[in-house]
Amino acid sequence: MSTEQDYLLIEISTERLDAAAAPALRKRFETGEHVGLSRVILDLGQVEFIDSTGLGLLVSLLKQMAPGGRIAVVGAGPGPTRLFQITRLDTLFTLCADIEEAKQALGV
Amino acid sequence: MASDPPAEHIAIRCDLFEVRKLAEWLKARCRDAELSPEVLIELELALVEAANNIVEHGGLGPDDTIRFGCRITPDSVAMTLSDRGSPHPGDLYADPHAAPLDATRSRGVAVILACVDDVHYVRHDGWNLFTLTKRL
Repeated sequence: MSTEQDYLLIEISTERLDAAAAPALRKRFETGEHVGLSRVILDLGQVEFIDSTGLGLLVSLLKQMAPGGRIAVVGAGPGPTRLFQITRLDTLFTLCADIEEAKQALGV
Repeated sequence: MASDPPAEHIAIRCDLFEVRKLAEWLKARCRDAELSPEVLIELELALVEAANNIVEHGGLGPDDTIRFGCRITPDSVAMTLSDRGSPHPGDLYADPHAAPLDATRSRGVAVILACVDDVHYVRHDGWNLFTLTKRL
């Protein structure tokens, strides 16, 4: 994770954000840098597959942020994008083409 | 000597990491059949969600096995998961309760139903047979 002035950038390095990987990632998120923040950019460029457990973990991330907090997602490939669409979570997370677009979307 | 035909099914241990082997096996079959990436994405999602359900809720132990087979025709793909765990709830896939948008869990059934056209469950001779069918 890295912190720019107005947002936190979180890069997920696992290829499969699935039920098997979720416990380890949940542990990583326990570092709490995102807790109480209002803007996060989530880089899924290395993630080839997400299942509903992995997606639930991302929702947990959002719920740990400040009220009204927002997450912009960059690098989502076809598989993860399809899951966001199926679950309508593309209305809760802002899917962006790149970090610049994500920063604009978040207003930072 | 002619090469062996691809296996009709694969068996894994009841373990979430093992479910990844099912996905890889499915993707190989789909590539051989030249299915579109869009179809493969939805098939993989449905398979993984269904297999995860069996691992997490099926009453199996870590040494029990889950079998997976896949039949691809020009019109459809039928994926069948079978196990000898507890009977599945009969209405599990009949009318899924829609999870709230900000729910952190309980989306798996809805994802399956969004990705395939038919879900069929039967219990026979101590086996759960769960078939997901997607029309092409």
